[in-house]
Amino acid sequence: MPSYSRGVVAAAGSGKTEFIVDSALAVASSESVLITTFTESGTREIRRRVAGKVGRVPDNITIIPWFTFLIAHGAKPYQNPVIGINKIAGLNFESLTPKQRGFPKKRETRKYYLDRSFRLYRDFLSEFVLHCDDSSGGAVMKRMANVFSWVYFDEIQDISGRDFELFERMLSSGIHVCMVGDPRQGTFSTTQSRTNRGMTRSRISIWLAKLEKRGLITVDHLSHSYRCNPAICELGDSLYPQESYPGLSETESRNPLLTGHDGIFLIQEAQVAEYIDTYRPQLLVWNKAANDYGSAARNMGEVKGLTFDRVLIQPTEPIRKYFRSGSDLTAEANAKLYVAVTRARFSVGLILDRAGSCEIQRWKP
Amino acid sequence: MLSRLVIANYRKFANLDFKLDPDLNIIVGDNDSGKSTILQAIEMVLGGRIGGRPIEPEVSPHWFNQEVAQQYCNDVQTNRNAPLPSITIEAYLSDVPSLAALKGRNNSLALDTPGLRIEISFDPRFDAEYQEFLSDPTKIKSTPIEFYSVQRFDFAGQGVSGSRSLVSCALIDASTLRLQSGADYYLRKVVNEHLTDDVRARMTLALRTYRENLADDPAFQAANEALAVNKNALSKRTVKLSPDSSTKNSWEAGITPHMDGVPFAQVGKGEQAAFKILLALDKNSTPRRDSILIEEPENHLSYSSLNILIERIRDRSAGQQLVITTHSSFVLNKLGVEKLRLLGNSGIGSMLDLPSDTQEYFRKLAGFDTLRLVLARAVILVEGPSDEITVQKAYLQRYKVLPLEAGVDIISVQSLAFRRFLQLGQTMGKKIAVITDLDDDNSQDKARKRFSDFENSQVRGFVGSVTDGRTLESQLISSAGRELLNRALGKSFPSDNELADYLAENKTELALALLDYADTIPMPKYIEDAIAFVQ
Repeated sequence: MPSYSRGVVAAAGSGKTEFIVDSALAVASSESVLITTFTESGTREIRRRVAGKVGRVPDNITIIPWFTFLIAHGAKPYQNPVIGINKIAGLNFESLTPKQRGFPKKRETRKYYLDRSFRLYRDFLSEFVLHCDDSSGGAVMKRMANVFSWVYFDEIQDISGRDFELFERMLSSGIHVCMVGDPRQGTFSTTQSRTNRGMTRSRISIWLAKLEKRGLITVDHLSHSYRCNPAICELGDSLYPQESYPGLSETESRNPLLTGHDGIFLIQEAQVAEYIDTYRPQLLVWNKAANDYGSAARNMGEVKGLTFDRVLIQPTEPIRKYFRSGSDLTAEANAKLYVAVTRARFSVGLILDRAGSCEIQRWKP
Repeated sequence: MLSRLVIANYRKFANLDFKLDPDLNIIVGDNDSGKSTILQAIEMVLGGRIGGRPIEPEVSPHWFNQEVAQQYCNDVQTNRNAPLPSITIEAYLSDVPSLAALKGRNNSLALDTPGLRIEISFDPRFDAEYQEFLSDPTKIKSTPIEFYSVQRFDFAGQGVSGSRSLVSCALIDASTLRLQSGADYYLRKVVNEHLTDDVRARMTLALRTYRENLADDPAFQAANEALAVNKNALSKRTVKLSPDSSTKNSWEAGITPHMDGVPFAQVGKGEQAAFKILLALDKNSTPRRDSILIEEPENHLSYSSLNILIERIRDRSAGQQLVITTHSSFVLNKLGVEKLRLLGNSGIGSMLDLPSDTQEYFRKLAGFDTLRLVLARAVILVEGPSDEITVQKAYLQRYKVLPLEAGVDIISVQSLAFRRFLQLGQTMGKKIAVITDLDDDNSQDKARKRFSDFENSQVRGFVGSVTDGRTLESQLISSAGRELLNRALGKSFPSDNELADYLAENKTELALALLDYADTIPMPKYIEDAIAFVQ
């Protein structure tokens, strides 16, 4: 049976959020749509884009963060008789060790999932939803399917923990699910849970392929970039070589514009001020502890979804080593660097004094 | 549609579980049996309001079921942790796709269905204040509602705000008409709901423009100039009059509806009530109301107007759920006895709880007799009109009031129908005495068979002693004596047998003669016992 549900593997700058917004707005207004993603800021951005297109968010479209959705439609409706009537008071965002939670047994439902103030532990939220669904004979999923006909999920690469099972249940519940993500941009994780860690981040395409094999979804690729010029696409792709990451395809640039300063450049520390003065790039740093050269710097992990004409990257020592000698980066550093590079439309500057074996051209004032 | 209403600790109802008919429910019960309470409870849980006003400021200690509240007051004297009483009202709605968002199990029956729940309970945020209050428990004489909060949730566990609801209801109280600035809350609400958004917006704008233009009127300007001259000595500021154009949505406040050119408040009360009911029932109103609650539609209406109103209610209510309270047998008969909900001491009964042949019996019987049974505090069932009159006389001479004035109704039914009435009375926990003739010269057994299945603390049967004859008339000859009866009748039968023969043919004459008889008549003991039982 061909499935209506889809998984979309998108490249940076391919307009995946745009794709979600357009698809959601194309659904008949008589059918209800949920658009969700892991972060508050991502939710706001989607809401802004929908309102930008049609003036306001239509009545049939709900745009809320994933946790908000899980609390309202996963945990609360069937908390009775599992916990009691209207007991759940919210979320506890701390990641507590089992010791801090007092080693509760799973059958001590209240203690296992909730703190003393009846707030659900965030790391156990999806597991609690699964528990409610099991103990109600599948009523949680049935209700979700009655409330939402379509679910669009942005940034699916950030999925972790028991969310995988939740999604699989949603896929079998009759909801049309559309999951969109870029496996290369897995810079955020929903929980500290170890469960299903092998599936997270860049490995998401493997999970999607498995779902396709089971006939639950069809997988599409959006492997072009309206944002990045060819040189930037190439640098981005080089961070995820196909021999190590099967299931990813080469990004095709659809930005042919030239500005006179296009591509990738190495910048000498001493010339940074002059470079900033000349090109006004967005400075991207690992965190706020880094030197910001008197410019408004932003963290690489927090610029997902944004576009800048030019970026200037202040690499960490491991990233410098990666460019000099090709040494390995952690998955997190690799993803953040990918995000940083692919924000730019025309040029990417790297602050690097000793180039080692790096063949990138050096900027000359 | 409201399919089930579950109430805990609200007013009369420590526990009420009321399953509603999807179309029509006619609630009948004695005064103070809780009819209005049920409608109020529905209005609160579905509409988030009470009497058209927000709930929280209206909460009163009297809302709490007396027994439960008293229990708390007693317990807290010795136990600081005595649980505080709380009121819950739950509306279970029909499981349709459009209400899927309200679906869940956050209800006391743990049913997976859409619904709404209101809980009036202790708010833990006031725990410190409450603990202080507890320092002298002897002061606690009622539920400390100052530390309470009202919360309304759907069964999915989401808080519900009063304004945007997937279900709606309108309560039309035809008995009292609250009039505020021309149109009352219900009327304004109902009128407002009939207007589309753009009509309302244009009304608001027109009124605001009108008010703003008023400021440019020469009369207004002259007034302001006068004020400017008389500068207030205390503050150096200028006082200026200006029409209030700040309130956006209150155009209704300054506007009053007219019926045929007469301001609504000046139209007859009956017309007002009928108008409100019909407006609420209109199928084209937006948003459509799912449940319409009507309190005593018969109020203020003449028989013929009521007739027209009931016809209209029947036609217009298709597809909407009606809950009506009434005292009128006419309303009951017109709308259908089978939809009757009987509210008695033991909760709420339905005709559907009765055996089908009994349902059939009452469907054919005039609604009047059914209502008499329902509305009376206690009932004496007798076998014929002459018995009815005699029992009435017995009651009057003993208690010096007519039985009806004491809430006791004497209903004459064919002896075969005793069973039907007892079945109906039983569902409501009514106190019922049955008085019947002996059908046998040797034993009471045959007569007792008519009611013995039903006898308990609420139902008892009474029959004459075997030695005093089969009928009430022969029993009377024994208790009152031939001489007294001769005098009452203006006759002079020489023997008991001749008197008995005459009375067998003239029962009603005797009954009426006894009723008119000025002195006390010694009544047979079983009659006296029956009267004492229902007293």
